[in-house]
Amino acid sequence: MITLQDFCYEDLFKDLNLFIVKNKITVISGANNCGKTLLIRILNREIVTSNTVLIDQAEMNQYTIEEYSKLVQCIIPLEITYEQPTLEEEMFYYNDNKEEIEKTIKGLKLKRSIHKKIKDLTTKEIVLSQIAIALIKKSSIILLDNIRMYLTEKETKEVIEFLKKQQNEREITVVITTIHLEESLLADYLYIIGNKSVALEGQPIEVLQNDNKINKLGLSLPFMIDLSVKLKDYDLIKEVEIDKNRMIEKLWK
Amino acid sequence: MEISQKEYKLENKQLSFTVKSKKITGIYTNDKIKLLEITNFKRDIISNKQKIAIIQEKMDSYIEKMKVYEAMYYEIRKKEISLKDPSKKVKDSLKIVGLNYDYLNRDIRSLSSSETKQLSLALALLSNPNIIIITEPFINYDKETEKKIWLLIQKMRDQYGKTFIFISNDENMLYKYTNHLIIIKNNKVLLEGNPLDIFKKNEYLKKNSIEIPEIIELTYLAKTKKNAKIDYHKDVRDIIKDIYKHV
Repeated sequence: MITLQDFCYEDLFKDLNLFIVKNKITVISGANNCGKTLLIRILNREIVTSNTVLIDQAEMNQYTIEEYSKLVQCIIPLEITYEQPTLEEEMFYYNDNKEEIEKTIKGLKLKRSIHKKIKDLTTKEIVLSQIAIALIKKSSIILLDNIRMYLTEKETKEVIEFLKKQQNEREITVVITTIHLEESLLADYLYIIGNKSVALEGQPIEVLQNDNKINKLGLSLPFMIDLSVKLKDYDLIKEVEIDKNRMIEKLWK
Repeated sequence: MEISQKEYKLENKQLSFTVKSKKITGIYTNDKIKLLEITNFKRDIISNKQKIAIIQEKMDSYIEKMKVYEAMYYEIRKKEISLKDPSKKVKDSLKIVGLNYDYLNRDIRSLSSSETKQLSLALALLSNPNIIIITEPFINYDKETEKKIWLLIQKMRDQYGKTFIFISNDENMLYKYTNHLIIIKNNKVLLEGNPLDIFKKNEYLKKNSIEIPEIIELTYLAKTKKNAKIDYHKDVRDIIKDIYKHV
């Protein structure tokens, strides 16, 4: 569990409360400049705060640098520091279980990148490599900041689905910050930040039905949610439907 | 690059396509970097006396550390832009994109997302390009920022005669904003034409792993599976009206 209670930071957050549950995928969304990336940087201990941030009941700063870097892996592709080895060498450095590495490589579709030097990887490959390294390092918390910037919508969805599958085998807490609410449809919990605090939170499908509030917060609803909510207003359907084929069956019986 | 009055032809040994002058052409590709490499647009900037400017989704991290005025003068030097009055050009470029002179001394890192994109457009304007290429013009912007940038692009097209090319892998954005669409796959033009006509080729696009805008896909499914009398639209509110009328 990651806990930020009554969290304040300069002029950006006031009494922000986040309770990020272990082994779940949590999406944190909000308009531009609402502090999403700042939050990730705080959780990655790049930005020091006098407020309390608890990771598994212990204050974040109580962990040593080594402990924390093993525990938390942040995916910020443009800030990659290791340069010399190939991706394969880098992965073996953290874990020599060949089978596990191969499985991760396959799952993240990185086969073609495995023998490239890390410095020669494209930004997209770097994002996927960082996720692969987080998995084989067995980090228990993975922070994904804005990965849609580097991957297509389909690739982003595939990455989240892959991480979800990994959760069946071991504990991984995934925190995703994004402006694209589509990503929350694959998550367990959604926070939307607005006016320096949590404006909306809950199960994504439930939260996303607050169309007026979400529009006021400057975010766009996923197409099928937007359509469903409006069709519900006209009494044309009873429940939100995110599958297009099922929606058509419901409308044209 | 040949230039006629109504269109520009961009070509090299590997690829050739046409963009409409003073319009917004979308290029759908899954490999933006490769596309920029093979088309060699960057060389065109020099060989064609700054006819093309490119704005990538992420500002160069070297420029990002500068102040606004430093970035503007760095751009002039880097591209060897010959100007009679550089100071006037800098101020005019900022003015066009809606940034006043007070921004000159601002650290780029202190700018908001929309201000950063406005600055990227101002930097592009310094070379007085005919064509401005933007990769993923609206990615990671909230609705308000997207609207602001879109209005600015329209102003630059309508008042200053700029031609835009949006390079993206976001089919929904390309359908919403572009007048002409080119689909590039494996460095070859797969389809070229009106965005709706292209995206209606559902089966063909799927066969080629090209994503279809959600609003078109839903309409296509309703038409083919249920023979529904609904039209193709760009706005969800219009499709609701059609559904309400015919369901």
